[in-house]
Amino acid sequence: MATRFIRNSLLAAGLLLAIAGFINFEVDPFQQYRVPTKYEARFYRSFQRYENPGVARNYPFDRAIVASSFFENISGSEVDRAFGYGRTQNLCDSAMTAYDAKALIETALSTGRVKEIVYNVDYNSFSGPPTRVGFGDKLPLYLYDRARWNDYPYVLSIATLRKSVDILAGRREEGYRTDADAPWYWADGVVFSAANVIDQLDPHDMNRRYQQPQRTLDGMMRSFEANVVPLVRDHPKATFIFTWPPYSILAWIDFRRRDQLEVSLEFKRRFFEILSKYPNVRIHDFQARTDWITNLDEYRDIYHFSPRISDALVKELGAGRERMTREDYVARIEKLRAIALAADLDRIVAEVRQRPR
Amino acid sequence: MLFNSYEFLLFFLPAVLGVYFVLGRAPRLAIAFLVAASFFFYAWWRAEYLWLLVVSIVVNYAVGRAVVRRAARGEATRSLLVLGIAFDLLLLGYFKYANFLIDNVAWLTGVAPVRLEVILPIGISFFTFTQIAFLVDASKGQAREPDALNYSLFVTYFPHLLAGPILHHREMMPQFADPATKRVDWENVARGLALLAIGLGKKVLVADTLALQANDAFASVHPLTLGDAWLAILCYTMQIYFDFSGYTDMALGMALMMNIRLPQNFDSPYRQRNLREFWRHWHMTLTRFLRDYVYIPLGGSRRGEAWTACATVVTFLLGGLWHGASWTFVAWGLLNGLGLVLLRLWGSTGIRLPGLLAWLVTFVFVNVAWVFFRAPDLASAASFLGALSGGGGVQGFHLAVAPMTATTLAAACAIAAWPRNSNRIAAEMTFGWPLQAATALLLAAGILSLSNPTDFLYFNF
Repeated sequence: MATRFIRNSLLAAGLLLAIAGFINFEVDPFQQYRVPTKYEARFYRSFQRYENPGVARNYPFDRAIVASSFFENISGSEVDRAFGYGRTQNLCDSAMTAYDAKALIETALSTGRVKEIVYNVDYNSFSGPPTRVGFGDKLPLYLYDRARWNDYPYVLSIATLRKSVDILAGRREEGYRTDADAPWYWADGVVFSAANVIDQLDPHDMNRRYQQPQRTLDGMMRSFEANVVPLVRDHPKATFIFTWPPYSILAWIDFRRRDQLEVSLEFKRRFFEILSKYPNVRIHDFQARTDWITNLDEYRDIYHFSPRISDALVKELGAGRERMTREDYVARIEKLRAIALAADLDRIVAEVRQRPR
Repeated sequence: MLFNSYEFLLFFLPAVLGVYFVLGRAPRLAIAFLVAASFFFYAWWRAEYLWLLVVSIVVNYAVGRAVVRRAARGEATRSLLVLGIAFDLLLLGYFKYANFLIDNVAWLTGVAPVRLEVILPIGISFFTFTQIAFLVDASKGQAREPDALNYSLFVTYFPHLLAGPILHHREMMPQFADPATKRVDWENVARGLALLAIGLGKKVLVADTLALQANDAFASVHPLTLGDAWLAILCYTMQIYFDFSGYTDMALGMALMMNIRLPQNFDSPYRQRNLREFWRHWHMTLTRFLRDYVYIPLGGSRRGEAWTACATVVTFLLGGLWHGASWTFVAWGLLNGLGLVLLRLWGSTGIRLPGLLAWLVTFVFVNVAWVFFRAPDLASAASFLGALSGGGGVQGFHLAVAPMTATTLAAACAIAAWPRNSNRIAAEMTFGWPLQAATALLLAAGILSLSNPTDFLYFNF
């Protein structure tokens, strides 16, 4: 009796797990093993960190955009047109940290196809310990390597099974896109306006909404040394196009108020001085573009800019403009410091509030 | 390594069971293998903390042996016993309570705290208490263990290492020494498998689902309504029971597969009609430890009512602090201690409440006490208690309640109230197809739910 109980229970459990695993492997909703051909690929925003390594391995591209939400509105084809060559894939993760970025870039580079990485540099992504991840406790690193045997948390997962069943049943729930060219685009239906930015701002605590932790220069450098330098050094055949994004002027006021301005600028200086020694690195800087950063009508909040700015940025990047050089990097940083120090929150708020709605 | 992980359930446990029984003809080898496997199990968490476990075992074993030898020669053992217990408490104090002490001294003196860079070693409270019990028993002549390997197994045996039950040396060593426990007993394997499946289901399917609602409420920056707060604390009450008793069921189940019977830790605590009975059925091995090694040595109930009340409160204060280095745990212990004192006073009046009312009072008290257990600090606990009394509004719910949460909560309440708990199911099971199907379903659903990628909530930037 007991042996039959054990045998039947284990066999039945094993069978159920095998069926679930088979369905998940075949449907592969997070695109770990193949680009879907029998159904339209679904890009689940909630599961970027699960899907992106699969996309990095399986999609045909030779240039990757690796960034946080700043570059999620950029499409691959737009970059292709601006650069005039290559095929680009957007691999952004919201709230991506330097550690997240390194893991994903290494996955992309491991294919041997990727020649260029467009890397958005966000100060906040270097806060905390070098292994800090942007979301949850840890990355699903078992999906970031090329081994399949360790994918059991993906294949034997009820969350994966729910997506698989939805796909098989043709159910279309909210929360995913199907456009591989811009898989993480979020600007649909989002209001970009100065009034909106100011309305949602807490003038006494501009960081309240974002809860970005305080950064230290030592901490940022530790993360930089662990997560950026090895990438550049160990992959000399890949070109890294680092891009400092155009935060709105309000972000710089926030940095100034939280004693984060000098830490940020010094980090930017060291970042350039260390990476500019590598021949496979280009660094572009859009942070002092006053025509962009002071036009709050092109922002959703103090950090995130509109697709119009994204488009313009991509074109400038493709044309090689705003590139930091040994000759001008100090001046660029000084200009940014002057902009940040001169910015007056009360005046900006008053100006926006005086405008007719 | 956690019981609720793929690595443990799919690789470690089957491999250990297989090798253990293969080595069964050479019992010493089987024990050595179990010790090695248990160290591996512990090292999976952080290999660099293995030394702590090893040092703790070596020191306690050496002190224990010395105590037994002295006792055999009729010499005093008190100084050695104090030395051994002091070592254990210092180790526990450094890793678990040092920063708590530093924070409070800093608060009292107004100096900025200089916190130590220590990580709380997993399971330290359990393996420390287990060994303190051994030393005390050894000094009383109730335990002796000349064999280092056996002693190592008693402390590290992986089913109880991280979260108990807290074992007595005398109840375990005869089982470890019995050659019969090294041979496969299919009936024990079957009962153990069923218990393991039940425990896994309790943890992964019930506790983890209810945790979402409780976490939302305790993390909410908005005021909670009366409904939010009571729903959340009820979810937490069930979460903690299904989490901990599920873990214990798994521990008891896998030990039973190896023909080892660990002591019960839970026996339908939420069905009890007074707080004393609750504590006799909740985390029973901790209650036993506190009774035998704190309450009775403090004088217990032998020195009059006032002394008994003091001993009870002190015992529960220490019990609270054992759970974590925070004033919330102290408050939780104090509340339970005072509750027991109050119950004793009530008992002296001779008034008996009707059964249902007695149960309701007990259950509500336990729920309210859990607020302190769950809240991150006393201010949050006070705010939550305010919401429980309607201070945040009495109408409706602010927090969303998923249908899955409501269904799981209803099921959890029904299971907690059901007379046949997992212990009885495993003891009385008849191996029929309904239990086979249930075991298979629980195992499969439990394993599928181990990796449940949490939805990404970063939509507000």
